[in-house]
Amino acid sequence: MDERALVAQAVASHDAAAFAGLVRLHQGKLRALLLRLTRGDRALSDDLAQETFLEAFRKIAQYRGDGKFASWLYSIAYSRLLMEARRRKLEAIDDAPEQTLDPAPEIKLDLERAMEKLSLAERAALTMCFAYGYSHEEAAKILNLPLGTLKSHVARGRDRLDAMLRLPDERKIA
Amino acid sequence: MSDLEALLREPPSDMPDDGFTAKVVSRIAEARIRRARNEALVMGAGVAAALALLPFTDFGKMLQQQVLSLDTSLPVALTLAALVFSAAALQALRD
Repeated sequence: MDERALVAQAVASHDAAAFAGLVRLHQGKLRALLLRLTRGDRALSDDLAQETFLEAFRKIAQYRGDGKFASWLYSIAYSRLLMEARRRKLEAIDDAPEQTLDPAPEIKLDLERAMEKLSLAERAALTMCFAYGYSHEEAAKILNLPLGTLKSHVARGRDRLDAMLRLPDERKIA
Repeated sequence: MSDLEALLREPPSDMPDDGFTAKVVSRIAEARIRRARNEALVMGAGVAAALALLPFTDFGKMLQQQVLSLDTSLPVALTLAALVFSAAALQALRD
């Protein structure tokens, strides 16, 4: 059964088996996204992913089908992550360290490590717009941000990553 | 496209299922059972409250007189049956 049919069945009859098909289809990407946004905290990202799917199942009748099902899930997941960050006051998730350059400039950081140095909003905006291929408008809707704010996060995040990922020689030239 | 953008376009690797879907399905089933129990408890409390208030209503008083006029053992039997039924229902909910 394809995604459209699974969604239709889950919405029409609140069918747990159809919804399990949707979980199977989307869990890999959703958990990978949350793992990146929680800076690699596997336990927290999996808890959030489970809560996201449970909330999605409860609210499945509210899904109007006017956007991708994945977008709707990501929107729930991001909102849960923000709530969790506020509840736990997780500086580790949400704060952007002041330092933008690698403390050991001779080592080139890989992307995931560099991403960990960005703020939650910057990580989310960059991942949505580049890795997951959403337009700025779609990403702003998913992350519940004004379009201008989303664009600022993308630009700022990209600049900071650019600085962090540059090789030491390139830094000297710049 | 810059090198950085090319890097950024690589999505994070999908996570393997590792029993994740089964966990979600099991939690959905648990949530459904919990909700059904809660609904049954609320309904039971509503019925109990209605029964408790019944003797104070005109209908209740009329019913009481009707029953009492039939046979004195009947109201006692009905009350006992209602108590046994309620206890069994509560025990089932607790299990």
